[in-house]
Amino acid sequence: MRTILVANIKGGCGKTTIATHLAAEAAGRGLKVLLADVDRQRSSLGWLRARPRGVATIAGVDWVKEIGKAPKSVDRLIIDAPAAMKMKQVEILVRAADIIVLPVLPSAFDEAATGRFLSRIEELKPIRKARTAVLVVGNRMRVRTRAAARLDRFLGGQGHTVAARLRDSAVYTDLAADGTSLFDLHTKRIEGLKEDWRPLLDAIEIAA
Amino acid sequence: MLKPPLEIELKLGVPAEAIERIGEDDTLHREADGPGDRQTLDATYFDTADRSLSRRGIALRVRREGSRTIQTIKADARNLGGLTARAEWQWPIRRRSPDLGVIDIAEAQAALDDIEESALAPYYATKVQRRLLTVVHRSSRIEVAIDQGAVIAGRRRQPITEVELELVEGREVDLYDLALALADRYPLTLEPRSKAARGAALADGLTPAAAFRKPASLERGMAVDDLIAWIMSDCLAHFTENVAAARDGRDVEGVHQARVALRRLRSAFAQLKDFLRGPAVDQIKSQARTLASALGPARDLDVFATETLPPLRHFTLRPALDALERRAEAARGEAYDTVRQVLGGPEAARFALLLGYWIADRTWRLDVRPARLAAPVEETAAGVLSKRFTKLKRVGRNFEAMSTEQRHAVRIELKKLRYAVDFFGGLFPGKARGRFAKRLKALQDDLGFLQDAAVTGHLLDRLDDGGADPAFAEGRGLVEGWLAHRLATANEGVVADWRALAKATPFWHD
Repeated sequence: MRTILVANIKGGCGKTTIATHLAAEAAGRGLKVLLADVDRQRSSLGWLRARPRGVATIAGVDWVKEIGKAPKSVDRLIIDAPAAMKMKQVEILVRAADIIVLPVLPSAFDEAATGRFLSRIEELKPIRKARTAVLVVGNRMRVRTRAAARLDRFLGGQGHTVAARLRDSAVYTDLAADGTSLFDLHTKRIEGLKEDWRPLLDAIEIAA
Repeated sequence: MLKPPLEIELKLGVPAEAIERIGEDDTLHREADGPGDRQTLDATYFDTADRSLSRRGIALRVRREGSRTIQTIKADARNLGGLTARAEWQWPIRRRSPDLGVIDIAEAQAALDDIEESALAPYYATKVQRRLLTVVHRSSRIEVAIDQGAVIAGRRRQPITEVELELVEGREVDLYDLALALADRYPLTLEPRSKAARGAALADGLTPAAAFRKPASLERGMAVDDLIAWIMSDCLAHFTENVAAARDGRDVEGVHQARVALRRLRSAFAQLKDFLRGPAVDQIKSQARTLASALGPARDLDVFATETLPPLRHFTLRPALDALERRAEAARGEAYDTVRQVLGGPEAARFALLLGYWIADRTWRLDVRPARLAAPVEETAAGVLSKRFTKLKRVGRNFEAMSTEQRHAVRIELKKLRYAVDFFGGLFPGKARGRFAKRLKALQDDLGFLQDAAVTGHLLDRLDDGGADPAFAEGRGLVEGWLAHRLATANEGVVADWRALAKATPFWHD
């Protein structure tokens, strides 16, 4: 089983979009996926409830009160971490993770918060020994490329690179409401958006 | 025309000692697309002697911007839940006084139709040093103006230290996110009044006006999702629009309406609780409760001074009433210090920003199935109204025999029904609604008096120093006797009003 932790300290950065997309993509390839929601808002579980019949099956579990254990039969565990995590929680979740995916919005305030978060998790052993991959994802990249360049500079300074850049699109809002993801749809219109995810998906497979 | 006609902006006060630092904020500058501009904005606002423009919500401004002179017309702000969106038109002109001949927009022409240029004279002025940054924040482009200066009317001056965030392109929610990020670093405060409103108040020595709310005019077929956004925005606007009046304190309606706004908000959360839950909701509700209780003592003392004491002035025991009044006035001064501290402090601003963010983000969509949010509101509204009315009748069973204490429980249920009728009543037009609302209001007035009497009792306990002042003790006895008399004589009417409401026909079944 591979465990992917989707985390950030600042809310509204697209944690749930990323967690649900990673879950749907893996499930679409026939993997047995468990989506664990630790965020009090429980938006990943809300998305699962809205999920229609006929799309790849994903199991969900509520870990808000207590972080549990995934059954052995699970191929991929995806954890939607809470915003504003307590250090104790961070430690447990980071230690459990093989891969940490960190969505960041193009904003210096979000970068500053992400920087604090990165230095906190880097103090934890498994990452220092480079056993755990940290993949930073630029989310909602829209207004000019200058913001993207700034994000690169910032992450470069932290010893990281951007694993993928996801465009801002209203499609994500509709998908969230429908309980689906780009990977559940097969229309031409969204091909470009799907392409945005490729580098992240590749990076996950390499790290896994 | 130089600008799009609608501006969406957020304005916040900055303590004088923080205004320089916020202009130099590292993180803010990292989001900016350059070092920014520094502008000296000297503006004069014009109006007729009888304030014809001001009275119809129009500001006419002539402002020097570098070597140019710009004439601006701003129409009255529509308040969109803490955000203001107002129509604004600008023209370059060649003189320092208004030139109505350049106005080429029909809407603006119509607004100024009967105004003679020669009748316009300087009204007040603003002198501002502006630091202007354009930042890219999340997926939006936002103009950040950091203003330092004064509003001036004749010899009177009032300092300005504030920050304005204006959405150039992108999402409203990013505007709130940036404001919250800044509020994390600086003790920003609520400053919802425009410079123009402050100028007019200063020039004419006006008291900031309290803002009242009309019952909502909802449209049938409106989606629940939009209903939530509409009601919450309305409550937020109601609150922020009363902050200036509440802090000023001369109009007792300021604190009153600010409290009403917070109570309506909490009541809206209760009515829509099937759709609204989660950590953000809990936080907003608890902040609303904290703010409301900070305003409580001031409101209680206002009621005492403006409603309880005046009828007693018919009696001749002046010294006793004077003793009461003196002590109440002193307590009221302290209570208003608290109001000013709380509403002028960072907590109130954070509350408004968080609520604004939550509305703009429509965070509730995460928790509720889209089909339920897309459903037309009538069913939800009728369900809420029925539930409230049924609960009221259950709690009020055997009303005739109830003690005053027991009737407090009825009063609370009644209030919930009242807010539900205010929120949703507009969906069910017709005479039946008017009749129902009238009976509701009659009983609410009756029971409101019970509450005022109880509050007055507690208030007198607090003001009492244990009988050291015989005049105070006498005054207290006078008030209590008067209230006891009113309670006793009111009972018959209260029971009649209760019966009338309990058998009223629900107007929401159509």
